[in-house]
Amino acid sequence: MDPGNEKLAALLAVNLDRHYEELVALYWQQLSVFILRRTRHFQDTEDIIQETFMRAYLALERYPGAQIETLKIRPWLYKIAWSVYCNHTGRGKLPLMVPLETPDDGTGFELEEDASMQPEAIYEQTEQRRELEALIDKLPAHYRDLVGLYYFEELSQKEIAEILGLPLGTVKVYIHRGIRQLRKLLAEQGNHKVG
Amino acid sequence: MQPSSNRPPDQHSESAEELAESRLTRAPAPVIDAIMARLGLARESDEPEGDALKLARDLADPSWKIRIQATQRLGKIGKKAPLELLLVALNDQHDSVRAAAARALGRNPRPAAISALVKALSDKEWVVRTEAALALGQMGERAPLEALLSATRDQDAAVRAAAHQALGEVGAQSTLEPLGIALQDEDWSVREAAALALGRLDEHDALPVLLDARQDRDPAVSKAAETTLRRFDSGSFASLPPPSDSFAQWLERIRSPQRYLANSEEQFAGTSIYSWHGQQPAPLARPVTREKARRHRQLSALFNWSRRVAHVAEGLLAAVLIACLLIAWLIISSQTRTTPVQVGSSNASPAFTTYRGHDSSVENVAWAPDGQTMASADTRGTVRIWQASTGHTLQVYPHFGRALALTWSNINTLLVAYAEPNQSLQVQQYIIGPYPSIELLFQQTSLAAIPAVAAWASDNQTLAFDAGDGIVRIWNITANLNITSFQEKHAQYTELRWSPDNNQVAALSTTGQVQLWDAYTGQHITTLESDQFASLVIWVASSQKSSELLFASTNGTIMRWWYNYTSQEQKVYPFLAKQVYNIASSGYLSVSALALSPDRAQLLLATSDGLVQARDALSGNLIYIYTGHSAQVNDITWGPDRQHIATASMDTTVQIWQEQ
Repeated sequence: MDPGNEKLAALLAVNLDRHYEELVALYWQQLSVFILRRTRHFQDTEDIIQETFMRAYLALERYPGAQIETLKIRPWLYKIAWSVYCNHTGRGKLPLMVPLETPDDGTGFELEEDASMQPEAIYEQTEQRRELEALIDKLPAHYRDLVGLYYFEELSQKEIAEILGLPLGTVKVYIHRGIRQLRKLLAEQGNHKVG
Repeated sequence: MQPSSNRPPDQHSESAEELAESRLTRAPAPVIDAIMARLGLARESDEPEGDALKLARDLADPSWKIRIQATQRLGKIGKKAPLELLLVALNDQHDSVRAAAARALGRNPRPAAISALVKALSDKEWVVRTEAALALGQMGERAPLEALLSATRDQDAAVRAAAHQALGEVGAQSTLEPLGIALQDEDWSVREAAALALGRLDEHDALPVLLDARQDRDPAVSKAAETTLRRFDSGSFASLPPPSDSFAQWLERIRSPQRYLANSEEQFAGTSIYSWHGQQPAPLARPVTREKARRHRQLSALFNWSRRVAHVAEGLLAAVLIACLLIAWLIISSQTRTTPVQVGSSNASPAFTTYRGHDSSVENVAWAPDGQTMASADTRGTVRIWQASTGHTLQVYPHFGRALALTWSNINTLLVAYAEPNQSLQVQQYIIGPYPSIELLFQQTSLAAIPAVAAWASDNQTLAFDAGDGIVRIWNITANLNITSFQEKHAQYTELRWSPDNNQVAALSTTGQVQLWDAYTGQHITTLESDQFASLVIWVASSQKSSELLFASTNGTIMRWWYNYTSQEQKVYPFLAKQVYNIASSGYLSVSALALSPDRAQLLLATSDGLVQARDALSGNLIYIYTGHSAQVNDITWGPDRQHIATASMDTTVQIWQEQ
């Protein structure tokens, strides 16, 4: 997902001031979309993004060259952006905790028989992506953040755990439950359309 | 950058992606440019660096981007960049310009900028506070640890991280504890910064907390801890399991004054740091270098020796104390009555030395840092250097101008600021010793008037002087640098007084008004609001929060003046009524000099009849009177031993004495 990472990290390790603009140019847009989805306010987003890149620069200045070279820049930037976003909105950095066991809790990733009802499949179809985005917005906040990061930002579960500061197991459970709820919503929507 | 959680969401029907595509992708370059400009990383223009005038003009440009570029160029000039301009940028209205100025000051660290950077630690914007903390970290040994420690408690994580990074740069042993504590910070970036900063300390006492940090819940912190551990000893520590004791135990040990002994004994008894934790010694590949081992052994031996000496000294001290008490009791019991303080008597010693070399009123006196040599200046402009113990004249420097202020920059170098009749100010440097020399160190000509007053800061190199027409200039004479200037149009000054922390100057004008000015930015801080007018003023204390001064009012009352910078509140109240100190004469007496003891416990108050009263600085109660002078005392100064006092008088003498 991030083919330019290694090369850019090496360049940043050699001369941060000279190559920092490349980092901004490469990640500015995707981070902006990520934040804009949450704030729905362009000026706020711009403020958050500017602050994110300023904080990232100050952190990179602190890192030894070897650490920059091995840095996974993209999830690291998301982590900073998430932190800035939380500070701006005054919300807690972690998603709300929900009990691990709930009455409707399944034990595995059960696939629906109708493949057209799979969020994964819907995500592949650009036209329906916006529909999926609207549905994700209907999810409870603690699922919405994780499922959004998983689908729209294409981050791995491990990276999401790092960004949000959550144990990997928790992230897996949340994403699993979020997807299941999404399927329910999709099914309801399908029924409604049919009806 | 204002938090915007309260703003209503944009009313639109577009999805976030549509919005992003339509608005963000249309003009990405300006957004990127803004980010780069705010970071002071804007593409370099072909413009030459420019002279000071051009830079000053650019710093006043309405566009913050121009101002930030000018600040960047100042940063590139290096230490030759006018400090005054950087300090102007540090007070810019735009946070990014202020941040860039702090950054430029950090890249070219100059001690004269420390107080301005400390002030910037209180800036309302996190980015300025962050850059200021980083810049202070570049000041090395001169870095103000207290201010940085305060910044480690900032509400913003980036500032806390920067302050910890700065503490690591300073590298003082005392920073180990705050850096260790920072590894428990709630924010991962602060923990990460602390883990990296610990690597700069070269302190093996940091190992337990670093080994703990390797297990941090955030991978970035554990990675930073491992990076630091590798720096300690080629990675041999990185493979060790975390230590068994708690953070609280570690803290307790760090706070123990004997930790160096424990450390050296345990580490060099052939065991590792793990034996201290009660674990099995783990084999370590050369935990420290031979040189370090030798140093620690020496330290350990020294500590053992000093402990034995301390035991013997304790016994001796007790014996001496008993003997002293006995003698004191004998003296007291042999006296028929106690001696009350009366006019004409004193419990100050007679003068140890009376210097009679001057042939006119002596205006100023200054002790050399070793307390052995004195310099005094009279109204004719003659400066004399003499031995404090004997009064023997060492050098005489006649001069046409009037000596306004004296200071010793070291034990054999005297700096004298002269007001010249041709409306100029000169600073002459007199080097005494086997190879005496005179050098004109500094000159300011074509001033608006003959300077009336000048004052040296306690750094012995920064001079505040009256340049006529109400202008006061502040110059670092050693660096030949105009730090700032301020003006109260048409004012004529009778006194300039530096605050104890050298951050402010109190200017007393002939109209009795006192104003406080920032000595680094030239900004007016406040004006004394009182129905009383001052004839003399001295500082009692100054801090970032408040200041306290004493002034003699024109009606004779000694007043206290307290000012709070945050609330801008000031209080003025009487401290000593004229009737209280006017004990020697029924006629009119004025206060001719005021001085506070170095411990701020005693106030010396000289009256126009030549008496010097020592009074409790809090209660105002009389402690003793010194009666050695026959005419008004013009200047009072404590010696470096904080016991002897030198007084310069209109009776043409300088006398050295102390409380009996």
